[in-house]
Amino acid sequence: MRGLPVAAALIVVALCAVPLVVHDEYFLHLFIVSGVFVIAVLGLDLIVGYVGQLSLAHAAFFAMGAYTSALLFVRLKWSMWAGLPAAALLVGLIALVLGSVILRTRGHRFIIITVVFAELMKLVATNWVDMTRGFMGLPGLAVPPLWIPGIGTIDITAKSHFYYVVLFAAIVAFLLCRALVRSSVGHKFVLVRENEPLAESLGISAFRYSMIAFVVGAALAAAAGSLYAHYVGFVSPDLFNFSYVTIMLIMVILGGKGTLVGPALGAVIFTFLPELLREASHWRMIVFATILIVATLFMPKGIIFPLITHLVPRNWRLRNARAA
Amino acid sequence: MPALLEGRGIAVRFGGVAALKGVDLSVDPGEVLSVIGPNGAGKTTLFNVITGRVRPTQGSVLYRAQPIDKLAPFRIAQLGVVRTFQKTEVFGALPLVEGVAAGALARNDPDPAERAREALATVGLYGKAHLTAAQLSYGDQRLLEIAQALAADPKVLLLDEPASGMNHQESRRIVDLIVQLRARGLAVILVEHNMHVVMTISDRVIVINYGEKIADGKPDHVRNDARVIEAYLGAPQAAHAVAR
Amino acid sequence: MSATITILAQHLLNGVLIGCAYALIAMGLTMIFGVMNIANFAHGEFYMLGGFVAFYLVSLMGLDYFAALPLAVAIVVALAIVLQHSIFRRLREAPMMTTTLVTIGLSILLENAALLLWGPQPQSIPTPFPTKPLSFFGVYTTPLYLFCMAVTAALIVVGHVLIRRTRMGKAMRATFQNKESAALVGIRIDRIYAYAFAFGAALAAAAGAVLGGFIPVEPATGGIITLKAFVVVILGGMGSFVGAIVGGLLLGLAEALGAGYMPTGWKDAIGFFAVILVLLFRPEGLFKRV
Repeated sequence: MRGLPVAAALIVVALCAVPLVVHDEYFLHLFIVSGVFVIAVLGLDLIVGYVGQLSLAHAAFFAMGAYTSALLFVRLKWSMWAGLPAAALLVGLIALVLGSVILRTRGHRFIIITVVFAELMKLVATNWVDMTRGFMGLPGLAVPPLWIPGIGTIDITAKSHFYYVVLFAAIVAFLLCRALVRSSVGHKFVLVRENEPLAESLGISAFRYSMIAFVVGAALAAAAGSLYAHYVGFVSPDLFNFSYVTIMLIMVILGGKGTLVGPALGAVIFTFLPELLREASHWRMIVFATILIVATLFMPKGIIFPLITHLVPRNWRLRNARAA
Repeated sequence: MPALLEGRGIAVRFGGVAALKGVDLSVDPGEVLSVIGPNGAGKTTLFNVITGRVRPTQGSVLYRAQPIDKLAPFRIAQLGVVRTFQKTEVFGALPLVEGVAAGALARNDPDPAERAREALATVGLYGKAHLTAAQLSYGDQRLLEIAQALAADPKVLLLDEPASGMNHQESRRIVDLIVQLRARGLAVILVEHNMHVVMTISDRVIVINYGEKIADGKPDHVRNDARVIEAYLGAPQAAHAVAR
Repeated sequence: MSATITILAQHLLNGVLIGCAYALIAMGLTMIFGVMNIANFAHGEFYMLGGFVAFYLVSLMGLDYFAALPLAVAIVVALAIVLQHSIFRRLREAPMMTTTLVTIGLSILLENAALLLWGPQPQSIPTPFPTKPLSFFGVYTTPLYLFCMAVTAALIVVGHVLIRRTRMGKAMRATFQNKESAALVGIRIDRIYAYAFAFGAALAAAAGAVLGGFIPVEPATGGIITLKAFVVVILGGMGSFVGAIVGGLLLGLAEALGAGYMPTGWKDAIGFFAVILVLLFRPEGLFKRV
């Protein structure tokens, strides 16, 4: 394991150097967006990869985080620094309430209800015009200045600055998830995923641990949504589109569910790839859908993570990767 | 003094079919109680009731004089009433230690991995701890199930046909293991078809037929009971037909 | 008749057709769910394809409307058989996560294929019916509407009879209850799978082809239809045919009333709220299985 901290440090240094090397605004934009997706997808991996429940509400949590933060900004003049934690907290609470209803019914019902919930939230965003302005969305969101003790106030509206905010948030999210899955709680996630009736019969509440993953995952999605809203400066009901949850699932599944690293890399790759294939936008979705089908059927461990474990020395592999 | 675990008049109906009709049982620390009866007599249903997977239509289950029949399965396991399954249930993809640690994790033991290794040592699988459950032979998987249950620190251990499908030598190991657990003060409730195993280690035997308890007593007493002989030898076909 | 009652009757009539369509789609969905244990997220795409293929045949190839409808269904069923053979067959015994992800992938695939072939704009199938509205006691309708309603209602009856009376239908229902015993009594599960899937696709495609003359079809329609059908299936009880039929009609009527009396935009929420209520108070659905 000795090589791992060195490799991690190198990766972080390389990521920090990105704005110094990449001056193209568009590529910087892609880096920022992929960082946002990393945060959301880590949350989805907790639910899909670790406790093994397929949630299709994840993009809705992302969008709800974006809307919460946006509404707090527009209506109450809360800056992102207050809006982001508020969004994570509120959406986490909503996930807790939703989970207490739907995590009791497992199986197909759970999956379907998560889509139904997502659609319902889209309808609210579209039709509660007095609050959300409906289809017109909420424009004019701003990135607040950052105050660092000892240094003072910095303007972070430039992409090259905001990049660091997202990078920092993504690293924090990653370390948080890693700590969680390596704790006894994460161990219980995996036990529930591997054999739920057996885990229950040995004293582990599948409901409770699915709930923890569901709520933490939702809060991460909401935090990512809040960052995204302030970054692009605009939210609209389109954020609830089903294609977002599909793309997040592709990131998790092809990345290698239940590994954190795989889905995080998946988020980066599948943010860049579609943009590079922009010329053929309809074909793009057809290609992705085909990849999703083929990977699900024939490569249950995904593509990206198994690829890294092939390239990386054997003793570096993460503990829980074995079970994935 | 009340029994460690006691079932009072347990009745279960599935739709119109009565699976259990008022079964009483009790077990004390250091005692092996066997539950026997033809296929479909209701033995596994009885286990399901005791461990909270099936709610009794009537009657109650008391553990240390407290009713547990309304608790969730995981709560009952945390209290110390732990079962194994008729059909082998293991965490197939996980290394043995990680799977066996489940029971210790569930009661927030400070060192679950150590408890898992102890449990594996007790059943004699310590030497295979580096394998995954799926890599074990069937006989070893049955032992692994007992190790999983032991790591949950049971006071009452329910074993559902632990020796089924085993050769003579393997079932000897199971018998030795149960004797050892009894000596530690565990209460063991055993469902088993291997009559040799049952008669060797049971302190008491109850016999269930068509959901009804038809005998209760020492192994020798039960063996000679006329109703038991009839239930087993009388009409095996008919008994089988009721099975599902 | 007083004006309020006339308006109410008008809304109810508007709901019957869409309710029949929901029922048809949900019957197939519940069949595939019951037999194959798959929540088919691509099911609504058969509806969408039924509509588009019929549109293509009538509008672009100049085929007769009444010939185009069954031909469109046949083409979609042929596609369904190919899909069942290439993909769904592999999903037997697969974990729920796998089956769901694959059908989601398939749904995206079909939607974007339609987008590529026919473009994003909604299309209406031209029909030979006169557009002059008919009036019964102040309730307005059109010949096309009556035709669509009659066809969908007839198809529901046909579907129901097929499930209830034919040997294959009985075998399918037996498979619902217990796959192992169905196999034991000599039912060939792989054939049942193929038939159940084709049957479900045919009902959805028929609904799409018929309604395509009335409600314009676009590539994105499939996703919405899938969701509505799932709502119906959960309301009616997963795996219940009576539940699918009654649930479909109820949802159609409720939405029509919602469209009439609620602020615009909220009618789609009715079914979603109903699902959450049912889940809270009657999780097994309004009707029991089979």
